[in-house]
Amino acid sequence: MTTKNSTTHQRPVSTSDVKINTSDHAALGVNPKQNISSKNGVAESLSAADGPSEADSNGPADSNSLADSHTVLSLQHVKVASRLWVEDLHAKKGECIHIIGPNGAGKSTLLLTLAGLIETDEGTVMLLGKPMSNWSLATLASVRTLLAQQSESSFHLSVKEYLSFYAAAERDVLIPAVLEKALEVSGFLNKILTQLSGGERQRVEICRSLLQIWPQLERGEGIALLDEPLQGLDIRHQYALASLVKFLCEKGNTILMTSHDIALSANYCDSLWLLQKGRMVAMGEPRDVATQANLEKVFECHFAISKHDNFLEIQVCAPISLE
Amino acid sequence: MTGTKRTAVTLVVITVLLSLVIGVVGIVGVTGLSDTAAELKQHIIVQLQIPLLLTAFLVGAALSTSGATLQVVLRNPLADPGIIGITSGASLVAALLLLLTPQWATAYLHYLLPLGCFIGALLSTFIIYRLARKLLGSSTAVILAGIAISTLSGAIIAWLYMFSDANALRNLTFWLMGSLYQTNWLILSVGGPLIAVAVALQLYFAGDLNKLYAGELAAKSSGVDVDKLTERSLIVCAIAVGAAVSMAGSIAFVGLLVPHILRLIIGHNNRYLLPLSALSGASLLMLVALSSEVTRVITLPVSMVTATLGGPLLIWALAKGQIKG
Repeated sequence: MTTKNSTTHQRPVSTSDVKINTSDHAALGVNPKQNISSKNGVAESLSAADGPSEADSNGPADSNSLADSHTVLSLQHVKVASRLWVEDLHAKKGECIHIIGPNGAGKSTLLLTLAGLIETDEGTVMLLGKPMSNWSLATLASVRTLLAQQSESSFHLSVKEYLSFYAAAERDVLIPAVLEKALEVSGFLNKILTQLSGGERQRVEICRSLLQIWPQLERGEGIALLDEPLQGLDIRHQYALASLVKFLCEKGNTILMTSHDIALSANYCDSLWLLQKGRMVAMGEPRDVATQANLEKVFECHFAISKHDNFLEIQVCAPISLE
Repeated sequence: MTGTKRTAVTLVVITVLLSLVIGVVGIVGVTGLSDTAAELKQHIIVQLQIPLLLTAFLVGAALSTSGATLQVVLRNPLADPGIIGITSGASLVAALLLLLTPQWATAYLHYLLPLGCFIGALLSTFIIYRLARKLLGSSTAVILAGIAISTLSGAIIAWLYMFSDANALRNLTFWLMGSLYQTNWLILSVGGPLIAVAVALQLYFAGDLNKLYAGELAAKSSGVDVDKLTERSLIVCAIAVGAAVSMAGSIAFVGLLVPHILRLIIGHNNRYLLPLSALSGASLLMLVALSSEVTRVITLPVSMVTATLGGPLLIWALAKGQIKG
């Protein structure tokens, strides 16, 4: 018996995955000739894009010590209300981090802590070299965004109106081309929010959270914390989203997302974090973290893992017995 | 803003301005009595008609803007100053004052009444907010706590009825159903600025209120201090509603009705919705004032008129699917 995790996965990181074609690069202000999977190319175009303004746009990062100038987010000896105990965590600029773990492992708490929305009992959270307590909610909002798991609205707004409230700036085109490629929300801009299906609603929510810091994401300076963005999405949009996240990270943005799809996450992240009962069990390269021993210990299932070049195939073989 | 929206806004503004003009011209013009001496005429206009107009304008603006704000802050389309109990606290204090003030003190009632309503509104808001936070911590809890407080105030007012004389009763009844004729320049000079400031503050909150549509966490993530905003909005609404109740008694429905109808026309953006609610509420009450000026024979209780107009409109809004739980 297998679960959806056994679905065959395409190889990630190739441009064909997201179907992001050259016209999107133009929309993003990236030289269309450059290939997105070439990190050098992206870095070049980025430095060209924000070279002179870097000093002032990176204000809070000025205090960075040279040693961790690439760390955008870090946690040290953090304890949060008997839900999370974390010794030392770092998220580097441009890193794509997926966080996995069983229900109640503290994934959401970790994201909320990193977003600066829950107070820690102990320890320090640093964002761009500045302690979280020195950030105001308003300045935080222009640097990082959070996709929370539940969001309610009993008002009958149209999707378009809803998104416009959260967009960082007035734009001629509300939805940037890349977002539209991955999320495909244009089709229901005029629909009423409460009439969308669960998956459609989730795509709108992802779009909303990314629009909040879109200018930063475009410059490759954004930080996005996405709590189970894959929830409710159909398989096509799951992979489109994973590719979008990867793509944004390659531009220099830092994205942390939680997920329950181990097989997808293991192949679409730079760093995989494995949480259990509020503690970090393993973190690092997916192939080092998504090992049979680690996964079986944390998830209490049997896994079959096989490695191909740079692709991890992960299958759940025997889930919990009901007897 | 899209073209259609701009048209809608323009339309609403034109309608509102038109009804304002009709209201002003109507009420000041209806003074009629062509054979009255010019001096008396002037006296009627200055002492009766203009205060009446101003009261209608201020109370209408205060109630509908507060209704719109409360609906967003409590994330419940059913919120209304009346339904969530702010009005009832003010009414209770007013009832106590009207019925229990000894004879010798009636001269000071004009000062006491606005002040009392105010304290009543603030107190009940505070209790409701506290109760809701302690008990359940959700926006539905505020409505439940509000209903509890309203019921309690209603019961106390009913007890007071049993023990008061006929004259005081008539006063109170009129007051509980709302009346635009109880004001004078003194009450206006106290309540007017309060309402102006409270409404202006609500307009100032509009941008942040927009971000509450996605829920508390999303609003926080986009830079809004939700707790502070909720607290401030509730206080400001209590001030506006308290001042309105002290001027015109409790007027039902305006706070629920006006924002809902406007949302059907111009959408949910509070930057447009709040100012237009203020204007539309103001012109609605001015029309009510005009209608009772025209009928003349009897002074209609305002709530009677607003409920008669409002009931069918609300049913229409329901049928259009605007209001669902």
